[in-house]
Amino acid sequence: MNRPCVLPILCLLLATDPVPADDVFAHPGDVATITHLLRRSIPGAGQVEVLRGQFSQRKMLREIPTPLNSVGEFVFARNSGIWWHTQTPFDSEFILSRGGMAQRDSGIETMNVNGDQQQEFQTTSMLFFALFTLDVDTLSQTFDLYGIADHQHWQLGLRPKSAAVAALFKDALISGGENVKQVVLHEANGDSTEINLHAVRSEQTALTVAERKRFGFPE
Amino acid sequence: MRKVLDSVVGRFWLWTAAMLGLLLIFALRVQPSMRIDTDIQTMLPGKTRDPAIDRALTQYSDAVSRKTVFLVGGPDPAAAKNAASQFADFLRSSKAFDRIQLEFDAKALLGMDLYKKYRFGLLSEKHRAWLQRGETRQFGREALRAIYNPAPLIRPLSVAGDPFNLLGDFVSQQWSMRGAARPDGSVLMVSDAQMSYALVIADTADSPFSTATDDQLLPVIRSATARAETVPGIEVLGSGVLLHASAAAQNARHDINMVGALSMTGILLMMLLTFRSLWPVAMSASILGMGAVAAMTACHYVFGRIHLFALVFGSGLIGVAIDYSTHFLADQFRDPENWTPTQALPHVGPSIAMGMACAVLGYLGLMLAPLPGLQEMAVFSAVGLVVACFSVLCWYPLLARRMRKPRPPLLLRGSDAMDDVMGKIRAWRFFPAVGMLLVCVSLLGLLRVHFADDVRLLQPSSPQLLESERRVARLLKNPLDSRFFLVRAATPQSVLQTEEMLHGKLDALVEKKALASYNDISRALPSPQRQSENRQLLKQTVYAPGGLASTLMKQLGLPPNLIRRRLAEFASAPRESLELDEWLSNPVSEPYRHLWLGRTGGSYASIVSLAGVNDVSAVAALDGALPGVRFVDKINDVSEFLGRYRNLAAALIALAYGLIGVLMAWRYSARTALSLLAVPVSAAVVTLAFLGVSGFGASLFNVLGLFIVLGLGVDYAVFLRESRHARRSTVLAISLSTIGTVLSYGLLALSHIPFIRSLGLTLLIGITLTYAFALISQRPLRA
Repeated sequence: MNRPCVLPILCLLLATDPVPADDVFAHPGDVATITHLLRRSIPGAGQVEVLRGQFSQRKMLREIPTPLNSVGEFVFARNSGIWWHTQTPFDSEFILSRGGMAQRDSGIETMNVNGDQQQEFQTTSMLFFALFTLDVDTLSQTFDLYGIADHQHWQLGLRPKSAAVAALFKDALISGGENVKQVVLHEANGDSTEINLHAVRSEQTALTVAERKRFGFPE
Repeated sequence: MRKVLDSVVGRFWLWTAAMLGLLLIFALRVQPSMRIDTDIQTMLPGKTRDPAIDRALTQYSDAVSRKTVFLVGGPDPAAAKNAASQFADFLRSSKAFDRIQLEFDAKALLGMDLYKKYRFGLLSEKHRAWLQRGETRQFGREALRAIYNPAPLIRPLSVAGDPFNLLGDFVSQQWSMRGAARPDGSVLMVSDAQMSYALVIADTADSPFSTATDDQLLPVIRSATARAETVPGIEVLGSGVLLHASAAAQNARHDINMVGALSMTGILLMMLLTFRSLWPVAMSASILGMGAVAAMTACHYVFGRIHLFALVFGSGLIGVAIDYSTHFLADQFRDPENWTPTQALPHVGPSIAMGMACAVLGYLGLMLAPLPGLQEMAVFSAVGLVVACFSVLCWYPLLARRMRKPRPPLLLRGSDAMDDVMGKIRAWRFFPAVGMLLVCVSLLGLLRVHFADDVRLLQPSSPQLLESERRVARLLKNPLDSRFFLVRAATPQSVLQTEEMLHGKLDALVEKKALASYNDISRALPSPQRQSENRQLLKQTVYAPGGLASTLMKQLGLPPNLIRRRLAEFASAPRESLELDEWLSNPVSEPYRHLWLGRTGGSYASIVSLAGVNDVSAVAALDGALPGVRFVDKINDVSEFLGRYRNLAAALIALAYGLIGVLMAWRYSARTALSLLAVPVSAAVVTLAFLGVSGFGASLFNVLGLFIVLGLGVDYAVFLRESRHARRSTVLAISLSTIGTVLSYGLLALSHIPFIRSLGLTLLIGITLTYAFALISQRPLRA
């Protein structure tokens, strides 16, 4: 199997990053320096209660010439989890919470995994949640941290500490300004995912009744 | 030879030579290799009546019990890791452990390369079920959803390489048994709301039940823990059989040492007070020593080890063995002026020999039990008593000395007074009525006796240890159960197939929450039949011409030549299945290897381990549900066996009484035999009644206590009966014996360990009653 096509994609990604030029992985940091770096732009980094917005996602898959695009909306709630609603190319809700993982296709539940039984999903959900809420503490347990910033923008790099995670996951880049703007995940198998967030509102307000219902809370 | 045996001097030297030989053997051959066992389970017969399987099961439980899990916790992951690495270094430098694991080669956990080669035969249960039920649309839709899913799923091959993520799903289904520990760097960590913990696994080379092991290990673990916890915020939690076994052994040894020392001191002090010379003290000590050495040597050669219980039970024989010594020496009070040890022999010799014969007969009754533990106690007791008795009979005639000042000592006056009181009770006119009342109350008490054989109650662990264990289980989230299934079949392939058939039944239990999860090798290595079924299934569904594979790949936008290549990859994939040998030799099997028992006897065997058993009876109902499937519940087995031991021991006591009765009837008369036996029998009944009324559960250990009551009771009654013309000295002898036994067992009743406490309590009550009943029932002949 041929690997060379990974590199152009990587270069492309780096070229389109909000922070230009410097390679973030040349700047290792620890929890304190990275938190400090983030708080210059986002005073509440890592303390976000609820994050709402829209996303566009591009999956760049090895050996497949055209990326797979999807668009939708999301809610991150610190104490509840993630609601990820893909609207095109198909309607599918994906809910990752500390209690487990569920999927609803066109409103019909097609999967429900109890987090107690499936530890790996819980770990995944915590990490995924941490990526978007910039929970540096949680991220630092699984990843080595890297970071650079200028007055407007910042970029965070994550590389797995353990060989086991590295066997699946190569690295991640998170970048933004006042909010998280982009998350790029590189899998070890050569596939990568680029998620751009738009119209992000970081709020201290509680979830609405409808949102609570989505996360599986009783009304 | 006959002449030698007939002469006192000849017997003395012959016996001395024999004992010197024994000491030599003990010192040179036995002592260096002596093994003291504390595991209650080794006293039990094997579970399956198939020695090969029993060995394999022991090997499995040994492998599990050799592992001790430590969680070193700190306020943040870095602190926890740092403390864990120092903790591990300390354990390593002690050299007490075989292996200390802090860093894990995590790639081995994933071990994808081997699986990649055979991936078309490896399907997760979920995928397999969909394809079998023909739910290919669901299958395809899930695959597409997963590709669009933003969260990083376990996907060892790229989307284009394995669009359905068959391999990822197969691998991730294995992860559910791994618990909550996740790799952080090269260390496995878990965390809760406040703390992060690093996992350290320590393996010992020996079984945790051999005392040689825990002598070294527990102190090392304690100082490593203490050292780590000097750093504020650091805490060490431990979990493992080793910790329980070590603590139990240490408690037991502490109790036995303390009780042994105190009772020895008490008894020797008592002899010193009575005979006012160190000489009888020294002689008695050497008699006891010889008995103990002989008993341990016999057990070592017969059983290859000495069990702690035999030792505890045997230490109770101090009381019986010392009787021979005191009985002989107390004979001088019969005629303080002219007594010589040589002429004491005809007076006390027969009663000592008779007492010994009855007691040994009683203990040998235990031999009839088909249980190694009781047999060991029988051998220990019988050999110890015979040697102590012959030592008295052969040595004392030459070694014993008359007291210089034969003034009646305090204890003699005390025993006279006691005898008087008992005589008055016997002569009391309400005695028959009170006696009858006592009999009735006792019989009512007997009805209230309940049995408590649960081994967890008899050998409990400290609350701190249990709490630490609970917290480890809660943090790791996969509390491995001590119960498991044993799967046996003629070939390795059929073992795997049987496991697969069992999966369906176990999944139903997991569904019903009777069971949290289970683990076995066929999760990571499907049987060759299953692998070929899987390939067939894929061929007929997903990879059929115009099937889902090509549709999905087209939908994803794979170029046509690549689609053709992917389809060709499937078509030309190896037909062979991943076989056991290749799998076992790959690091990927490491987390499962302990579950494979290999060839045992004429068959192959494996283990299905269980976690979080909530409904034991539902799980146990699968015992024998498939050919070759057995449910193994060792703790319950031990409890069950303790109950069976108890019944058996109780039946053997009855038998022992019968045998002793026959022996007595032959020597005396049936009537006398009955009156002699009435002493220990009534003491036993009243003791049991007391346990019943006071709510103590009766177990095997109470019944064993009654065996010692039997031995002593027979002694007392026979001594009193045989030496009716020397009543005073005999009463003194049995008073001394009672004080001695109560001293030793009165203290055992204070032990931490419930089974030792049971034994002690039974004897404390039983012996006191025996003494009183003997004096009441065996009155001197009227002049």
